[in-house]
This record gives sequence, structure tokens and C-alpha cells, in this order.
Amino acid sequence: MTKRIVCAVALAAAISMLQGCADTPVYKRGNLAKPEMGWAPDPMEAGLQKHIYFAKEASSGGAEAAGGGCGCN
Amino acid sequence: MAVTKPKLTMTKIIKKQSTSSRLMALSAAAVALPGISAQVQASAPTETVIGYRYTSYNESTLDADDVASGDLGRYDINVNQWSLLTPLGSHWSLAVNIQDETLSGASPWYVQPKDLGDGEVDYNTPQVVMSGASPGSENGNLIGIDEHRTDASVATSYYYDGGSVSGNIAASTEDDYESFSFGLSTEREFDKKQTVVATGFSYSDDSIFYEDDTRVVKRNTSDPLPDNAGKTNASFFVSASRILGPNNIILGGISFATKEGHLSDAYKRFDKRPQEKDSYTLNLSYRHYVRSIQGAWHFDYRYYDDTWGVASNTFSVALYKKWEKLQIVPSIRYYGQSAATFYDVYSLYRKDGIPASENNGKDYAKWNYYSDDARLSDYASFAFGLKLVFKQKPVDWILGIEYYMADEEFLPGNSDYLSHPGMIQYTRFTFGVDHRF
Repeated sequence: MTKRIVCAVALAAAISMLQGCADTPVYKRGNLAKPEMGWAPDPMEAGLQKHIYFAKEASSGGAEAAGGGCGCN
Repeated sequence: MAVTKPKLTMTKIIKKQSTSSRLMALSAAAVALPGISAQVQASAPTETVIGYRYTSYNESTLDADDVASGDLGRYDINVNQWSLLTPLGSHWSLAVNIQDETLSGASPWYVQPKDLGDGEVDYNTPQVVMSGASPGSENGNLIGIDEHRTDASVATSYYYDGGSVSGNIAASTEDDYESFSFGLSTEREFDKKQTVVATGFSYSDDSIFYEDDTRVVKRNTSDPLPDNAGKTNASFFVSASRILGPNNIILGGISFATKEGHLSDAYKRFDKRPQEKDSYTLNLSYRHYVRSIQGAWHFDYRYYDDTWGVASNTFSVALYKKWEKLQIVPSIRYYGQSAATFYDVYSLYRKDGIPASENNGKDYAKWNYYSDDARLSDYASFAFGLKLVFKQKPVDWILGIEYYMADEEFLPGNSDYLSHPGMIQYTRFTFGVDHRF
């Protein structure tokens, strides 16, 4: 449990420190807007991969709320 | 996960690119059945996207030396996916996703020491007893798996200035399993839209049953399915993303999930698991655009920990490289996990480390809970992927391949267990098309 709390605190601290990063003006955000810079550029493939890994590995979840399952795990 | 992208204030071209990205990222929320993903967006989509994917998934045949009886061939799965994402007015969007899959093949039922004949066994050589392949092939009275699964989800989002709220409902049905789930999530932009914080919750209620009592499929004899067997799952997440510069963006998130109910595998012979499991994850993602190669690097990491004793690390790296209308995406993923506290390669042949050979051959459980499921062992896996996307507006044509192999030897250090003979390898081929209008 201590390890988890440390991880959560470290993450919160890291995020708060990022607030101090230099601003990036809107007109310089063109590359960030490209589809290939998305967190999941192909969500259908990402969804299927997640389903397969869920069925074949003991770990699941991430920055998302996991829901129901299947008879595969 | 949240994507911090400019919207109304960008140039028209950038706005168009951004919209596509938002559209595709949003649909992940619904397609990632079940539950709702953090990949919701703060900006409303402005175009409709219809997508289709066909996937052929094939697990490699086991070595004959690793199998005591039953078929060597494992699962073959054909998957069809359809998705629709469309704006509804200027403040709403709707996403519908359907996935249909047919599955057949054999799977491990339990692990036993190699039979040397004349009552002698070799405890250093575990072998799996497989089910028969299906249909028509049987191992004794053990009929193989022949399943049909369909799941569907509907998600809607409401967008307001600087944020969004999303809801999702989903259902999944199989011959022996049903699941209903819903999720809610929010996203809020801060600091000139450079920081985005997302939160989410989901809940599911699943039912497990044998499709036909007269059909003797491989069953769990140590923890039989009770009447009205089921399980629930509640989960929460919070994540934050931040623009670090014109070419860099980072995301961090944590999640918690708790499961209750019948968590033993209904199709493993000796498998008895606790009826509760809590799990935690920490994930970090980083995207870096390289102008000189017109490509983007993707780096992702996840740490997972649960109350069954499984802890894992997952690293993945991908490069999205464009050549004119062609996009090439090579990728690699590493996953390594520790074993559950109640795992052993022989579920019932040892007690506190004493082999059955030293206990008059008596077989009983090592602990109150036990499992010889390879997925609960300590092992690691590599996945290598390659995807080609041909962009011929308004259509994207997609071809993908992935090769996955799991082995205890991929883990650093020595294992406390004999190598599980049922480790998996698979190959996945995907063909797809997306149409935007």
C-alpha cells in the first residue's frame, strides 16, 4: 500500500511541476494536432489489442475505467 | 486519457487534422469494451467516421512434448468490428461500436507431471491436459471450445467550453457469459488548454453459466460454478496530460479497480481463487514529434499491482512514420509479471513445497486457493507489430500484423517455478477501412 501511495504522490507532484513549464502558444501546436500524435490513433485496433491482452495476461486497466469482462479471463 | 489539442483558434488545416485525431481518439472510449476509456475529448467532433476491421487471430500449436493428452492446436478467432462516430449538433457526439467474434480450438484444462508408465511420474516435466478441438474432435468426453461472442456499446458526449462529459453503456454476450456495464467520465482543460484532467468511473455486472448441462465441456471440479454465478467490477481513474512544447506532450494516470464474485476459471479443472481482487495501475505516456522524419514516437509505460500478488511492468514503443499517402507503424511491447501467490504449475500435486512423490503420492492443494493457469504464473512476453495505412481521402486502408510470444525465460532472474508448458504464442492479421465524411 505504501508503494502505491508513493506512486500516487509522485505522479501528483510531477503533474503539478509540469504546470511550471513554459507556455506553448497556440500557433506552435500544429504538430501536436497531427493524428499520429494522438494517444490512440487507431482506437478500433487499440480496443481489440486491449481485449486480447486482457484475455491472455493477468494485468488489465490503465488510465481508464475498466468495466465488465468476458468468459476469456 | 486526455488529448490537449487546439481547436477553434487553430488554422483551418490544423483544425481539420485535429478533428480527425479527436474523432479517432474518442471512439476508443466506446470500442474499448467494456467500460469507458480516458481517451475522451474536450472538443466536439465535426465529421462522421465509419470504420470496419476484420481480424484473424491464431494461436500457435503446442509442442507434443508439452501435452499429456488432447489436441495440440489452440484457439483460432475471427473478429469483425464496426464503429460509427458522428457529431450531433455542435455540442454532442454519438459513438456506436459492435464487435462480433467466433472462437474455436483447444485450451489447457490442467497440468500434471509427465507419466512415465508403470505408475512412475516425472515431477520435473509438467504437461498440460488439453480439451479437444471443436467441433467434432474430442479428448475422451472433453469437447473443445466453440464460442460466439458479440458485444456492443453506445457512448455519447456533451461538450462545453473547456471540457466534456461522457457516458457509455455496453453489453457483451457469449454462450456461457453475459456482461452489462456503464461508465461516466469527465474532462476539463486548464492553463490555456495546455493541461487536461480527466476522471472516470465504470461498473459492470457479469453472469457466468454453462451453456448446456448435458454437454461435458472441460469443467472446474474444485470450485464448481454455483447457481447464479457472477461477478461485479467497479473502477475509477484520474489522469492528466500536459503540453511540454511544440513537439512533446505527456500524460500520467492512476486507476483503481475492485472485483467481487466468482473469479475462479470455470474451465480449469483445479482452480480456486479468492472472491475479491483489488488492482491498481500507474501509467505514463509520452508523444514526441520529429519534424525531420515526419513521424511521431509513442512511448507508453504501465505499472500494475493487485491483491493476488501479481505485479507487472509494460513498456511499449511505436513509430508513426509517413511517406506521402502511406503511413508505416512498427511497434514493440514488453510485458513482465510476477506470479499470483496461489499459483503453482501443479495445482494439486504439492503442499507447501512438498512434492507429492514425498507424500505417498497424495495430491491436495498447496493453499486454500490454487491455480495452474499460465496467465497467473511469472512470465514475460514480447509483441512485435507492423501496420500499414494507405490514406486515400476520404478513405484509409489498413493492414496490420502482430506476433506475440510469452515465456518465463523472458523474465530477468530465475523463476521459483517450473516452466509452464502452456505458454502462448499467437499471430494476428488485421484488415480495415475508415471512411470520413
